[in-house]
Amino acid sequence: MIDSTISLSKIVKKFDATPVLRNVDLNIESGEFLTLVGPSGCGKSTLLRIIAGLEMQDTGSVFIGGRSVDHLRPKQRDVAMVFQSYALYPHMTVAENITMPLLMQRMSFAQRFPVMGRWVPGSQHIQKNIRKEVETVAEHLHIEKLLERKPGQLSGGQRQRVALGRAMVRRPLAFLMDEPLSNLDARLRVKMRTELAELHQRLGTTFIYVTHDQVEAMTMSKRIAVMMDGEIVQLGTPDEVYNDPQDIRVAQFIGSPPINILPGEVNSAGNLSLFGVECRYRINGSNQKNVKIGVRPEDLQISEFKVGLIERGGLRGWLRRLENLGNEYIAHIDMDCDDGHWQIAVRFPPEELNGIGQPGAAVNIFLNEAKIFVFSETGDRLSGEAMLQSAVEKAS
Amino acid sequence: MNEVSDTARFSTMEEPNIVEIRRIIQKRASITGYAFAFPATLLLAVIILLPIAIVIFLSATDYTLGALNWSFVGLTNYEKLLSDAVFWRSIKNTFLYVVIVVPGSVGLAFLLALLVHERVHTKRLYEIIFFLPVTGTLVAMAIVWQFLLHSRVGPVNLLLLENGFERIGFFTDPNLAMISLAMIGIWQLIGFNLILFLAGLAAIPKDIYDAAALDGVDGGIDKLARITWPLLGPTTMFVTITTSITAFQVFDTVAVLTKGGPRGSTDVLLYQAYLEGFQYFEIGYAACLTLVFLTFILLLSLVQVRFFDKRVHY
Repeated sequence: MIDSTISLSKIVKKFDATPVLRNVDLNIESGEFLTLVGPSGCGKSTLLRIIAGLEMQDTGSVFIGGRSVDHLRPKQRDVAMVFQSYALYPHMTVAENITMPLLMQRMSFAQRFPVMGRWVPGSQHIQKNIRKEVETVAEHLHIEKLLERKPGQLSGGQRQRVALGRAMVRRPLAFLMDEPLSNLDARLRVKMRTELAELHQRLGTTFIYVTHDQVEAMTMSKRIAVMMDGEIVQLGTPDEVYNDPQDIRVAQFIGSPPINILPGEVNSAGNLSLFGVECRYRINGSNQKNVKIGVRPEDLQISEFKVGLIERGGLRGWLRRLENLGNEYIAHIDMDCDDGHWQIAVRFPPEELNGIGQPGAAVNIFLNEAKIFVFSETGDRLSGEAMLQSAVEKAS
Repeated sequence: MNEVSDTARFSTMEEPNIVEIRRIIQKRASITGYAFAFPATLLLAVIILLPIAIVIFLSATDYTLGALNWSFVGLTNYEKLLSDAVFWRSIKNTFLYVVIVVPGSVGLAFLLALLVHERVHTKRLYEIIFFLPVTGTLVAMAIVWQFLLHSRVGPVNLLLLENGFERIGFFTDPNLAMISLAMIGIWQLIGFNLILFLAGLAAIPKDIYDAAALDGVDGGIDKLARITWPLLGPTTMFVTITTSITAFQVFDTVAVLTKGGPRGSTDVLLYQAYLEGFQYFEIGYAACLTLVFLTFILLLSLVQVRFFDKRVHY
C-alpha cells in the first residue's frame, strides 16, 4: 500500500498584513476523501494551493506521503489538481490536454522538442505508450469520442471530465479539487457528485476537496474540515459536524435551511429558559447568563394553536409562509417576545400538516430538548443535558 | 359534423389574411431596417467608396493639377508604370522596409512584453516609457533622429569617432539609409505593439499557468512554447496585420529625413505618389500609383486573415 497521507503542520500564511491561514494543523489519512468547507475568503483554497505548491506558506510544513515537500516544486509533489475553471489548454485537443502531464514527466527536453523530437531515440516508443494510457483514461471517463476536439467545442460537463482525465492520467498520490463542480448547472452537479464519489472509491487515492457548498461536503466526504477565518473550526465526519457542532459558526454553516438560533437564559441553578418559558435542560458548570440556543428545523415540532398546549411548554408563533417541497414542508414562523422579533424555520413531513397552512394563523412550537445545542455568547458550545421527558413527549 | 365544417371554413377564410398580414409586417420591418442602415451606408459611400472610385477614374486620364483640358488615356498610365524603373525601385524599397520593420517591431515588442509583464511595481512605468514614441508626432521625432544620427554633428557619430571607429553615414550611405529609416520605424511601432501584447498576456488565465506548473510545464522555454506563445496567437495575428499596414504606409520619415535619397535608395511607393501628384502635378499617374498601393494593402490583409485564421484560433 502506497503511503499517500498528507500532513499539514502549523501552516501560517499572510497576504501582506492580512492573515489568511492561522496555524493550521491537519492530518489526512491515506485514501481518505476529506473536504475543506467554509464561506468564501476563509482560506480553504489557499490551503489547497499550499499543498499543491502553487503558493508558499510563511511558516509551517507540508508532508505528502511522509516526506516534507516544502522545497519541492508543484510537479515534484506528485499531486494532481482540478480547478474550478478546469484550466484546460484551449489551443490543444482533448488528447493533447490529457497527454501533457505524461509528456512532461517521461520525455526528455530533446524528445519532446516540437517536430524534431520525433527523431530523438526512444521518443516514438514513449509516445505510443502515452497514447495508450490516454485512451484508457478517456474510456474510463467516457470521453473517448471527444479526443480530437478542442475544449471550446465541449460542454461544461465534458470539460470537467477532461480536467479529471488530465489529473488521473498521472496516477498521482493525491487529488486536489478546488470547487470543481461550481461551474456546472444544478442537475449536472448532482450527477458529477455521484461520479466523483465513485471515482474515489475505484481509485482509492487521497482526495482533498474544497467547496463552499455544504451539500457537496456532507454527501461526498469521509471527513469534513470546516474552516472559518483561516482556522479549522471543526474536523469530523459529516455526522459529527451536523449532529455535534462545536462552534456556532459550524452549526450555522452546515444545514439547509440553516439552524435556528434563539436567545436563551440560564438561571443560577443552570436551568435553561427560552422566551421566558423554562426548558427541561440544564447547563453543566457554566456561569453564563445569556446563551444562544441552536435547534435544527427538523428538531422543532409544530401544531395548530391551542391554549392548553402553552401550559405544557409550547411556544406561540405566527405562520408567515409555508413551503411545500413535496416530501416535506418548511414553515417560517414569526416569534414575538419581549426581547424582539425572531424568525424560525420548522421542517416537518406532510403527515403532520394537520390544518396548518393559513398565513398569519397562530401555531404552537415545541422544542425537542434532547436535540438542542447551547452556545455561549462568544459562540463556543456549552455542555448540558436534557432532563426527564421533553416537552414534545408531554404534548403527545 | 357541423363543427368540422365550421373549423374548415374558419381556416380557409383566415389563412390568406394571416399570410397577408405577415407579409406586410415583414415588409415594414425590412423598410425600417434599411432606413436605419441608410446613414451609415451613405457615409461609407461618400467617405471611402466614392474617393476610391474617383482615384480609379483619374488613373485612366492624363489630368494634371490645374489643367483645363484632359482626356481619357485608358491603360496608358499603367503601361508607363510597368516600364518605369523608378516605380520598381520604390516597390523594392517599400518591401525592404516592411521586411525589416514587421519582424523587428513585432518580435521585439513580444520579447519586451514578456519582460515587462513580469514586473510588478514598475510595469506601468515601462508601459509609459515604451509608449512615448507612439504619442509623439513622427515628423517631430524624425527631426530629433536626424540630429542624433547626423553624419557630421550627430552625437552617435561623435561617440563612434571618440572610440576610434569610423563615421557612419546613416542617411547618406545608399546602402544604409533604408535600414536607418526602418530602425526608426521599429522604434516608433514597438510601444503600440507592446501594449497590445501586454493586453494579450493579461488575458491568459492564471489558472492555466497553475495547471501547467502541476503538469510539469514550468521551465521558461516549455512555458513559452507550449502555453504563452500559442495563446498569444490571435494577438500576434492582429499585431502583424496592423504593423504590416502601417509599415507599408511609410512616408513621414522619408519626406523629412531623406526625400527619397541618397540616389533614390529610400524612394518608397507613397513618396513616389506624393512626388508625382503634388510636385510634378501628374494626377493621373499619381492615382495609378495610389491604386497599386491600395491593392498591396488589400492583398496583405486578405492573405494574412486567411492564413492566420486557420492556425491561431481555438
